[in-house]
Amino acid sequence: MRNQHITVQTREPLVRIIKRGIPSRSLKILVRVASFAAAILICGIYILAVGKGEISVGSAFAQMWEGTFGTPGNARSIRISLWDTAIYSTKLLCIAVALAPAFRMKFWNIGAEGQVVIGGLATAIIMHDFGDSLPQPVMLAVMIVVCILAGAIWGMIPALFKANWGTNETLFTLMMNYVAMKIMDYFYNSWKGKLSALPNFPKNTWLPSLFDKSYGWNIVIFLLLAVVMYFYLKNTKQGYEISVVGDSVNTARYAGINVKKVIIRTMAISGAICGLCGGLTVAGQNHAIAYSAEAVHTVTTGYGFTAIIVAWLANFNTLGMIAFSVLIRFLEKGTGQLGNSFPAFSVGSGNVMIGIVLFCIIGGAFFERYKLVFRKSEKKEVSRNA
Amino acid sequence: MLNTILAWVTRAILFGVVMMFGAIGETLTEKSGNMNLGTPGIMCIGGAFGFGFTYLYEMHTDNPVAALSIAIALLSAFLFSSLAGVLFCLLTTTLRANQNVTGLAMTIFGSGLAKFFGTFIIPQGVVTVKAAYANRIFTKSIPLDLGESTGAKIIEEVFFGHGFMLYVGIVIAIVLALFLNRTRAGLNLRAVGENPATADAAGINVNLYKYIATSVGAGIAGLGGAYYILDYNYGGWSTGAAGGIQALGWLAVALVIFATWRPLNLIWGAFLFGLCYWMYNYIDVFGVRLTAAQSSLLEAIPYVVTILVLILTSVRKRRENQPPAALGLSYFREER
Repeated sequence: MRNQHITVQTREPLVRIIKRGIPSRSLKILVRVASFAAAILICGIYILAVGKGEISVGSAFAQMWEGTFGTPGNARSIRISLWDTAIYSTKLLCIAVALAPAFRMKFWNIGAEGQVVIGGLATAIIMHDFGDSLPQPVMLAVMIVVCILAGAIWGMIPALFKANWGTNETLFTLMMNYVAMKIMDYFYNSWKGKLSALPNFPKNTWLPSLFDKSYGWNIVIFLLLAVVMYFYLKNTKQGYEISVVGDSVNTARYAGINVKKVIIRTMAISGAICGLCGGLTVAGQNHAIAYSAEAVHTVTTGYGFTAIIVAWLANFNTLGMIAFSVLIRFLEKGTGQLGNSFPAFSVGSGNVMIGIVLFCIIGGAFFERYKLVFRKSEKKEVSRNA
Repeated sequence: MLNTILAWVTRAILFGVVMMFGAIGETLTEKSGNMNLGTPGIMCIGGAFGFGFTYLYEMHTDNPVAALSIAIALLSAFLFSSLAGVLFCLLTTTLRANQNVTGLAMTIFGSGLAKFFGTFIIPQGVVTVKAAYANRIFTKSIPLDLGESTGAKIIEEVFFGHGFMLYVGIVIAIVLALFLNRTRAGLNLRAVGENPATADAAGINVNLYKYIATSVGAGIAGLGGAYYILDYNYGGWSTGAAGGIQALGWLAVALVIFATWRPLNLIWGAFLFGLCYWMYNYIDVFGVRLTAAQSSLLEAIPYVVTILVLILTSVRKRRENQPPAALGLSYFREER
């Protein structure tokens, strides 16, 4: 067989896909820039199509900028917009940071939404039931501890089953979200009773102000967590164990790592940070809880899901997540602003543009890991076969 | 008492059909190894486009034709949601992106696109945002008179008191079960979802199967969205309706697990989920008085039951109840 002269010329496919080695830094930057360019191009087409040519792409982006970062030259507008952008994007950042260790371990925690909700609820219960009966410092300490515990427990439940029986964690954590929301609804409805809306919790349970903002501490803590998590994953033994388990469970076992313990511990940390985010949001920003079907004023505003994408886009680098959180907030808030002057943009367009940007970046990542090899020209092929 | 129970059952069936379509589509998709968490968004797309085109049709004709109204609604819902499925497959299968991330991005994008489109096509200052004619066609039940006895009444209301989409959904579920278990192509598809490398070695075109299963699955899920607007929601569009579809989309994802990836289980599973979901509204038949708060807790039942099923199947490890082995994983021939 081997020595037989092969006369049939097999045509190579037009394009072949080959795996790259470790991509160089310049390649990564090039891919990212190209993905963004593609995203801006498609968003531009979308803006032109929806605006029916009545708004130029440039002025649309300028308006989105104003909505997110304030009107240039107007100090007050800049101040208001920047604070708003800061709190929402750092909240998104915090949830993404919480997901980083789980994702690096290849544990698909889709349950951040529920972990944030349950943390927020735990704090809310303390604020509601003990609002006036405890001195403020004790009160605040208890509020922080319970939200961390609640989030950690909510995160550990799927981890326990994953570690012991291999239960699919994606689906498990996904379902836990809705269980958490319904429990929240239970408390919301029973506290509200016959009132038209749930009043704010007593003022002495609110977080103390910082920078004259009740959510000032939230911003600081959320940013701090990103830095701490960066070093936790990069420079500690536990962080190293997480990467080993993520790369290969068998290697981890062989190296003597207790895989079950790592899975449960990491999910406890992931859930705890989510829970803290929920608790701080209730205590520092919302001062109340809302019905889960309400789009606004909920503890998470849907960020539990968006954060998954932020964490992924930044390649689990918690500092890189800062930029992506701001980008998402820009698209969200910016299209809201755009909708003020062009009603066609007021509903849904924010999510459409977020989707476009995400698809471009997610798809673009392919070119970091693989390269396309095109079929060589016919002439060469003939001479090689001759 | 009987009337209330009947109302509860018919409500559950009406409600279950939405989940049934979503779950049938998701089952077909997951059998190819693609876990499409974009299903809620895709169902929103199906709802918005199915509603949108049939709405435009009846706004611009004086004498709408029933067959055309149905065809426009279903075809446009199927077409646009399967396009979303193709996009999902392009990103996950060809470009090998992570399925969870792509799916969630698809849900964000799909719900946004649906809210945008559904609102965009309605002319400003118009009185009705209802596709009233399509709603009449979709809710039209089989005219049947079995007499006055209680038994006849039950049969009439439970089995025949619904629009045609219920029966379409059941037929699709049965066809899918036959396809998966009785045909060569179905066997190949399951092989792709269980072990794509082996399927590839056996000469099965893995990518082609994934593309077709995912796009057709997305299309079927999209029909559920169209049904939601045109039948369940009385033909009316609102952004709140898109939110409703999205919530049901997540229940559909849960239903697939509950049914342990078997299409026939989806049929009764959908109605059971519907009964659970609406229990709070009808439970006073049994002399139980519920507060609004307690009824919120009852709404968690479908999710809790799904979690229990998930735990049980993983603890018992019966091979025929497991998810497709390669579910959620990208396949690359040169990566072993």
